Amino acid sequence: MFKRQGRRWIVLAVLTAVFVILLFQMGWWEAALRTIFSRDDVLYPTASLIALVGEHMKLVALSSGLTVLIGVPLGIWVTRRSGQSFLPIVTDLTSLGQTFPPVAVLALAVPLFGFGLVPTVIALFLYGLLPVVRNTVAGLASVSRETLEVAYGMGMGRLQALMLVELPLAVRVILAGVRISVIINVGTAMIGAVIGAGGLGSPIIAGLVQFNTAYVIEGALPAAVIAILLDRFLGNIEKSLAFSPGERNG
Amino acid sequence: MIRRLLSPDTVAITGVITGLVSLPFGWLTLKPNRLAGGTGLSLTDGLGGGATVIIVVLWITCLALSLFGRRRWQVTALGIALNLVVIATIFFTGPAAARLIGDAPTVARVSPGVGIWLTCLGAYIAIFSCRQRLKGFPLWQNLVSWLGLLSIFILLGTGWLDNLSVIVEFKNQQAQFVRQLVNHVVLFAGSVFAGTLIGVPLGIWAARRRRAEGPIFFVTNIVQTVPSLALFGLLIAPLSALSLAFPVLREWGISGIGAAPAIIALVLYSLLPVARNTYVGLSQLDPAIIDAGRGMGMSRGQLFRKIELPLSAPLVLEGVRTASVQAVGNTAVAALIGAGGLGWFIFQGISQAANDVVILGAVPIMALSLIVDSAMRGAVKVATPKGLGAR
Repeated sequence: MFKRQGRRWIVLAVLTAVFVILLFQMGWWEAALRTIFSRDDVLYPTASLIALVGEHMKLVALSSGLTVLIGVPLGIWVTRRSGQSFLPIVTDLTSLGQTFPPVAVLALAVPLFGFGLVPTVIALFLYGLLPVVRNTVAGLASVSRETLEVAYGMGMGRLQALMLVELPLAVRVILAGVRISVIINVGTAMIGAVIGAGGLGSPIIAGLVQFNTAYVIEGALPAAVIAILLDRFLGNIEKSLAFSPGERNG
Repeated sequence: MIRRLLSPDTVAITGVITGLVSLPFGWLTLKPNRLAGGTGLSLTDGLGGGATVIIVVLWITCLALSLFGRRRWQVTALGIALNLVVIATIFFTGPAAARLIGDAPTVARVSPGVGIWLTCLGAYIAIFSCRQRLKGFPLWQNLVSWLGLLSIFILLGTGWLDNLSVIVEFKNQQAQFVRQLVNHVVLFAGSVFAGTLIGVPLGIWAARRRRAEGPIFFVTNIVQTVPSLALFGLLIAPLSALSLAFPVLREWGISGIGAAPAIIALVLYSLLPVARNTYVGLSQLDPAIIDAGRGMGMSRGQLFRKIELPLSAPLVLEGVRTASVQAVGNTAVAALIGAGGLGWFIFQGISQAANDVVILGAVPIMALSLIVDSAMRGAVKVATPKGLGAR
């Protein structure tokens, strides 16, 4: 079982290394895209690929960090006695928020926060909140009453039981929520380019406006790879935290 | 006794406090023309003194009721008062907009400001709480749930709000709106339909052949992970190459941008939820039930049609629901590659820095996804066989 896990990590590390090396080889991209599209202006001129990826990752890291910092405590709070009455409304509002198109969240954030980074991070944060809160609640709810009784019986206080029993038992489900949220954020960050947040959406938008499909590929391909690699990365962490190694969780 | 008297409903109080906090914000935004920056107007300047008094008094009444009300009539009264806040806010906005626009009715724009949105959010939170506490009393619950919404629809229908910028934009682009709405529905519904036609057999295949399970979910999972804009983008190049190579495709309207890449991407996205739920639905069936069917002399086809399909139908439909809600949202992005749909207004609004146009696209998308969601929930309920009980 440890062997299998080790292999998963090695495969991911190799793929990531190859991807990062490719990101720096602008010459290869240019050559490849020139052959495919038989035109000269195949590379997005405003920023290098690695810079675009950097911007993109910055957006995702900031917003996902914020989501976890606020979403997990929120999820914990609504399962405690003090916040229990807020559980339905928090669930309702976060899922209602999810129905609002992310593009529109971005657009409406502009008049409040201006163009660029800040509105995008805020919109991404709000949009990624639902899976984290939902999974934190579900993970904590899955801890059985008996387990908790045992913890209290051992003389644990509420905080101790939360930190030593409930959270460790729920961490896998919570991480699954974080993974969904991060992947959503990678996708929504693409659209941030529409309001000038940069990132891998910019070459796509530029390509669509100027009818240059090469730009579109330059943005779309790395974005797809990043999403897949991040998904695997978080998925691997999730699996390595498994308490029962035989069990797999979609 | 004291605890019974003073057992405040914290959720409702949070909503009411949100409402009270909204009062000092800007309630209306006035723009001399649709492209200019707006000026925020306070509650008194915007809606007028009379309206201010009524709204403040209503919110204070709500505060009092939320602090003390535990009995059913008190909760109902709170719910009605909250609805009245919303109705009063929207009601006074109509004439206020007309007054503010004054002598420049075609160019000036009046839109709701942060104050109005916050008041509505606060009322929503508190109404939500009232509805929860009125469970088991459908008459009162429905009254509290629908009174405000219904009144807003009546106000909209009678033209009372015609001077609000969103309505002005809607009137200006009515034909376009209908066209893009139809576009949106056709795009997402058609794609999910096609996705179901492909996804269900995929799920059945995965459940029947263990060897197929891995590859099927590996691929659909990866597709699901790829961001929508990236997937749209990746489809553009091969599709435009195809349409260049085969002119007949161009005659059918298939090209690199437009509806074709959008539909393909949306179909691909709906595969995972549908296939996975079909797979789970079939795998979780109790083998004893299948055995019983076989013992009754059913053929494989009969087993499938009479036992497996009906018993897994709720889960399959649940997958279709997930796919539909997701598709409604993703279709909004499809406007960027020229597929049309309500997202068209959002991007139009962004490029013109006109929020009203953004809202004109966003709110119907939201409504559409809520409608689709509850319709599919209803379908799941109907499809659940009686023996399986309430899920």
